[in-house]
Amino acid sequence: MVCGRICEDIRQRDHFIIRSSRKMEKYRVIEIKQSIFADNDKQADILRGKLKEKGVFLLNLMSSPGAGKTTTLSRTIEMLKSEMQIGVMEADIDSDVDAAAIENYGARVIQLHTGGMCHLDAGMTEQGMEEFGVDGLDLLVLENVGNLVCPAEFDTGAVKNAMILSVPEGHDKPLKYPLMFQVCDVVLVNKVDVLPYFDFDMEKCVEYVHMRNPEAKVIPICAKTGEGMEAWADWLREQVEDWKK
Amino acid sequence: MHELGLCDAMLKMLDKILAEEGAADCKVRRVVLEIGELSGVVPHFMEESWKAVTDRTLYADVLLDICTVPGYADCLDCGAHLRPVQSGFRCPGCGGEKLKPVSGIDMTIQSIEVWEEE
Repeated sequence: MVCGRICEDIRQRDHFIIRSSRKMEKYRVIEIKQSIFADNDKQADILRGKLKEKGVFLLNLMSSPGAGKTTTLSRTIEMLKSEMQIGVMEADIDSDVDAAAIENYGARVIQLHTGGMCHLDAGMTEQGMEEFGVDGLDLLVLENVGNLVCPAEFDTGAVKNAMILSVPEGHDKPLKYPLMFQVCDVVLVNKVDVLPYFDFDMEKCVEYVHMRNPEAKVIPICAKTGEGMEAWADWLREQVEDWKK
Repeated sequence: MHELGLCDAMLKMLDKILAEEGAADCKVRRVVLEIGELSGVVPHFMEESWKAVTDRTLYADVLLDICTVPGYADCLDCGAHLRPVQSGFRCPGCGGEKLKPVSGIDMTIQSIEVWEEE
C-alpha cells in the first residue's frame, strides 16, 4: 500500500524535495504493517496444501544438539519401514554424518546444508523437497538444525511438529524455551534409561510442557533400549493415516 | 542469537516489498520495526544483528527504528487479561502460571522510507 504521506520530521527539516546533481528526488513512506513471518507463514500453508494433495505427511523434528534426533529417527525407521515409505531430510549447518547414519537404516535420505543459518524456513524446505522428489512417500521427516530457539519461529510447512527433550537437559526446558514447546504437537522425553542418575522430575516436565501447550502429547522414550518407542510409532501411524484421508 | 535469522527473514521481505512497490532501485532511508514484548526478540540484539547482516549491502546505511509494544496474555485458570512482564509471568489474580499470550507476540515491519525519483 502506498500512502505518499510525508514523515513529519522530514517535512520540518524541509528535506521533502531535494535537488541532487542529476535528478529530483522525493521522500516516500511505504506503509507495510506486516509481520516479518507473514511471507514464510503463507509459503508454509501453500506447501502443506501440496503435501495434502500428494498424501505425504511431513514431520518437523526439532531438539537441542545431542538430544538424540538421529538415533530416535533410526529406530523409528526400523520399526515402520515395512509398513510405509519413509524419506528423511537432514538439515545441518555442515557435514553429512547424520545422513550417512540414517541411510544405513533403509530410508531414502537427502542432506540439506543451511549455509550457517540456524533454522529452516518454508522456502528452504520446499527447495529440499523438490530436489529430493517426495512422490510416493508416506512419511517425510525433516530433521531440523539442533537448536531450541530459531526453528520454533519459522513454520517449515510441516503437518506436525515434534521435539525431543533428553533427560540430561533437565525438566525445566519448557520454562526456558517456551515457544519451542508451544509449537510442538508431541514432545518425546528421550534417554529415560539414565533417569536414576539425574534430578529429572517427569511429572514437573509434563506440567511445564502443558503450561506452554495444553494439547501437547508427552511420550517418554529411550531410543537406545526401545522403551516407549511403540507409543511413538503408534502416534506416527495414526497421524500418517489421518493425513491421507 | 536468533535475531540473526530474523534479520535475514526481514531482508528477504524488504527485497520483495520494494520490488512490488516499484521501488527496487530507490535508496532506502529508514525502516520502522515494531517488536512485541512477548515475541522473545531482544531489540538490542536485533540492532546488532541488523548491522552484521546489512554490512556491505545496499541496506548498510539504513536507519533501523525499533519501537516495542506491550504484550498481553489470558490466564487459562481464571480468564483474567494481564500483562505478564508486569506480574512476573504469573496471574496477579489467582497466581496461575498457565498464560496464553494474545498480543505483543509478533514482530512487524511498520514502514519503509525511501528516496525516489520525481
